[in-house]
Amino acid sequence: MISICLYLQIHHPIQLRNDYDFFKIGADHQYEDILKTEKMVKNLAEKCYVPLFNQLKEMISFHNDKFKISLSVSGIALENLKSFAPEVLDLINDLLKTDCLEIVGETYYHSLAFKYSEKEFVDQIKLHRNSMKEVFGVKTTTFRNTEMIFDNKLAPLIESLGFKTILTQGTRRILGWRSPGFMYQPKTSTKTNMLLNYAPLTEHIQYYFSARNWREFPITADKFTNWIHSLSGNGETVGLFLDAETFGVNHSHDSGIFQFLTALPNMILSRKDFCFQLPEEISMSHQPMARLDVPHTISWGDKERDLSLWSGNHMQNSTIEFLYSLEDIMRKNKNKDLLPIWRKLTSSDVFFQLHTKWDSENLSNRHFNHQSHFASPEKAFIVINNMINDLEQLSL
Amino acid sequence: MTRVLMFGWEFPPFISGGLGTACYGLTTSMKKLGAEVHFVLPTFGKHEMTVSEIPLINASEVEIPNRVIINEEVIQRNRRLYEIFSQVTHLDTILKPYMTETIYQEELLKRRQEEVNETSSTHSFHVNSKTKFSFNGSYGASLRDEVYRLGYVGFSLGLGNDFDVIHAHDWMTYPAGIAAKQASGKKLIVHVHATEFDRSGEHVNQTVYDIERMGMHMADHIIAVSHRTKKIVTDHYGIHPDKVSVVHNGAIENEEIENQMKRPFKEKMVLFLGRITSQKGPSYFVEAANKVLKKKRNVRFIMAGDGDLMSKMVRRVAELKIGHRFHFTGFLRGDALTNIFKISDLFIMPSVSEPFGIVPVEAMRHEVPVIVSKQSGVAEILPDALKVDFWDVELLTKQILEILNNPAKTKRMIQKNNELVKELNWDKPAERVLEVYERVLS
Repeated sequence: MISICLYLQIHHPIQLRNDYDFFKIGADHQYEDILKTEKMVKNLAEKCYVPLFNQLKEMISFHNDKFKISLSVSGIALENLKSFAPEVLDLINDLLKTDCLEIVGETYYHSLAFKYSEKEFVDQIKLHRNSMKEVFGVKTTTFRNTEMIFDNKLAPLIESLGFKTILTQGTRRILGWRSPGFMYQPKTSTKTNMLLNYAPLTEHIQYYFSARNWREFPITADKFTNWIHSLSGNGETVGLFLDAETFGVNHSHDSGIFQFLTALPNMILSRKDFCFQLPEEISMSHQPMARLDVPHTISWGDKERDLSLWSGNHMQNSTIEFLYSLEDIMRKNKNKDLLPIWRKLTSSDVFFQLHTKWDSENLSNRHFNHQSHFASPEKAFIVINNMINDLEQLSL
Repeated sequence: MTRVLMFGWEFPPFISGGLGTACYGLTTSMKKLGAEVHFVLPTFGKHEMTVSEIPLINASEVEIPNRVIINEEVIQRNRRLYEIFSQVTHLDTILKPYMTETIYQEELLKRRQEEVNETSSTHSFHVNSKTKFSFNGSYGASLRDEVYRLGYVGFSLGLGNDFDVIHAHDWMTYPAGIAAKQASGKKLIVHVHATEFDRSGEHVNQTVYDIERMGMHMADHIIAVSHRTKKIVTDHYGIHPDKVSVVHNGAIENEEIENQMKRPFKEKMVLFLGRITSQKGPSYFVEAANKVLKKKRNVRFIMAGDGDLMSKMVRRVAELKIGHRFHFTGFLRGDALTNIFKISDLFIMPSVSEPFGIVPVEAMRHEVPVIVSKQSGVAEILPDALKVDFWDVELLTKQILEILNNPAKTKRMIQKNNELVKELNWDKPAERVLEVYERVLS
C-alpha cells in the first residue's frame, strides 16, 4: 500500500511598510501596512481559500472519507484570517468534522528561531499549539518547521514537545542514494518519524503547473497519476507538500489547477494499492525505512535546499543578530505589547526581503509569498533596521 | 549698473547639490549690490519663481532663430559654434517643443537608425522657424544633448545683446556661454564650482573634460571657488594662473522651521551629509564609524543623502555588523534637512575631492562642530576646524572620539565657529565677482 500525504500550508508574509524611514524612529510604531495586508488576505480568500476548501469538502464526501489532507496555518495567517476573512476559519472547522483533515503544528510566527534561540523556538511552537487548540479544537502531533528547516538538533526538541511526526524536505543531501518515497527516522530521535516532501513530483505542481515553457507542460492528472503509480514497488509514502495558494493564486483558476485537483484522487485511487493518509496515520501504520543523519541544516528553499535565502548574506545576518540581541530585553520588558511585535519580526519573510540570490529559481519569485515590497534588498535593510531600532527605543 | 546674462543649471528648491544654492546666494547678493542679473535655467516651475528675487529666463521657452539668422556660413566661419551646434542631432526634425525625455530618446534612436541607412554626411543646422527646445534640466540620460541644445539658446539670447557680460556656471552651461559670446561679442566669465577631476577622480569623462576645457579657454576670465580648484584648472586644463580668480563661496542663512523633531536617541550622533558618491568619501566615514564603535558604544552614525555608492555602503555596514548604530536617511530637504543638523553632535565631510563644500558651514550655523578633509576647498576658510586627510581613517577616528569625549573643548570650538560663520554670507563673494567683471570689462 502506498500512502499519499497531501499537505497544504497557509502562511502570509508580513506586509512591512516600505516608507518607514529614519525620522519615524521613536515617533511612529506602526511597522505593518495594514491596508495592504487586508487587501492581500481578502484576495487570497476569494481566489484560493474559499473555493479550495469548498472543493476539498466536496471531494472528501465524494470519496467517502478516502481522500484526506493535512494543513498548517501559521499564527500570523491565523490572525489575518480572523481579522479579514473569518469565513475561511469556518470552512476549515467544517472540514475538521470529517476526520479527513489533520492540523499540523509549526512556529506561531513562521520564524527561524530554531537556528537562533531554542527558548524562543519552543515558546513559539507552544503558542501555535495553543492557538490551534483554541480555534480548531485539536492537539497537533505532527510538526513542520518554518521553510521545512531540519537537522539533527531539531528532532530531540520536537520529540520532547510530544510530536510524533516531522514533515521535511527529501533532499538529496540527506538521502544520498535513498528515495524520498519512504518514511525515515531521525538519527537523533527514536520517537519521531520523518515524512518527506517528494520534491521531484511536488515541483511539477508547485512551480511549473502553469509554466508553458516547462518540459512536461501540460501537467495533467493523468500524467501525474502515472508518475505516482510508477512508484509502486519502490516506495511506501509520497509527500505532496504545497502552499495552499498554489490553487488559484500562484496558478490561476484558468490554468485548470482546480480541475486537476478534483481529478487527481479519482485517478490515484483507481488502483487499490494507493490511498490517501494523514501524517499521524502514516506514522502509526508504517515502519521507518532507515535512520537519517542530518548534520547540516536543510530546508525546502531554492536549489540549494539550505538557509541561504534567509541568512545567506551580511545584510541578513547582521539584521538577524540585531533582532535576536533584543530577545531578553523584550521578554523582560514591562510593556507586554512589545514581545509580540518583536516576535512578528522574527518571521522568515522579513529576512527573505534582504536576499541577494538573483540566480535563485526565477519561477518561484512569481509566487505571492516571494514578492518583495522593497525597491532593493538594501532599501529593505534600511527600513527593517529602522523598525528594530524603534522597537529597541520603545524598550528603554 | 552691470547687466549680466547668467547661465545656470539648477536653482532652489529643486537642487541636487550645492550649485543651485550657490547660484541663488550669489545672484541675490549681486542684486543688492546693484547688478542686474538675468538668470537662464534649462527649465523651471513656479517654485523657483517664488524663491528667486532675480528675473529667471526659461530656456525651454526661448525661441531659436530660424535658418535666415543662423546660416551655415556663420557657423563654418566659427569653429567653436560648429563644435557646439554639430553635436545637436537633427534638430530640424525631431526636436519639437515640450517633448518628454523618453519620447525624445525614442525619436533619437529612430533617427540614428535612419542615419545609418542614409549615406549623407552633411550636417543640417537649419531650424524651423520659431522652434523651442524642451529641457528637463536633470542630470539624466539626456544631459549631454541638453547641454548642447542650451548652446542654441545661448546663441539666441546672445543675439538679443542687451547685457554687458556673460557668466556661465559649470560645464553644463559653457556651450551656451560660448555661443552667447559668439553672437554678441561680449566678454565671458566661466565660474568653476567643480571640475571633472573632482567628480570622477582620474576616470575622466572625455566629453565633459573637452567641454570644460573649451569653456575655460574661450572665457575671458575664470572664477574658481577655491585655491584648490584654481590649481586643478591651471594644472589640468592648461590655463594661465593670472586668468583665474578665487572667490570662495558664501553660505545662505539657515531657515528656521516649525516642526522641530526631538532627538530619537540618547546617544551622541555623528553626521555625514552629501551625495553618496566616491567624490564625497562615504566609505571613510563608514570605516571610521566602525572603529569608533569598537571604542565607544554609545554613538550613532547617520549617513544622509543618496547616490550610486549607497547600496555598497549599506552592504559594508551590514558586513561590519554596525547596522544597529548606523542609519541611512536617504536624500533630505526642507525641514528634514534642518532637523538632521539639529539632532547631530558632530558633522564630518571626508570628501576625496571637494572644490568647495558648503555643508560644513551649514552645520556650523546649527552649532554642530565639524571635521573636514584637507582635500576640500572649504578648509581654506575654516582656520580653526579639525582637518584630516580623507584616507586617514585612524586620525579621523581619533578626532571623532576627541570631540565626543571632550565637551569643554567642543564648546570652545562651537563658540569660535559661531563668530566665523557670521562673516560667511554671500555679500563679500558677490563684491569680488563684480570686481572681476570690472577688471574684465575695463
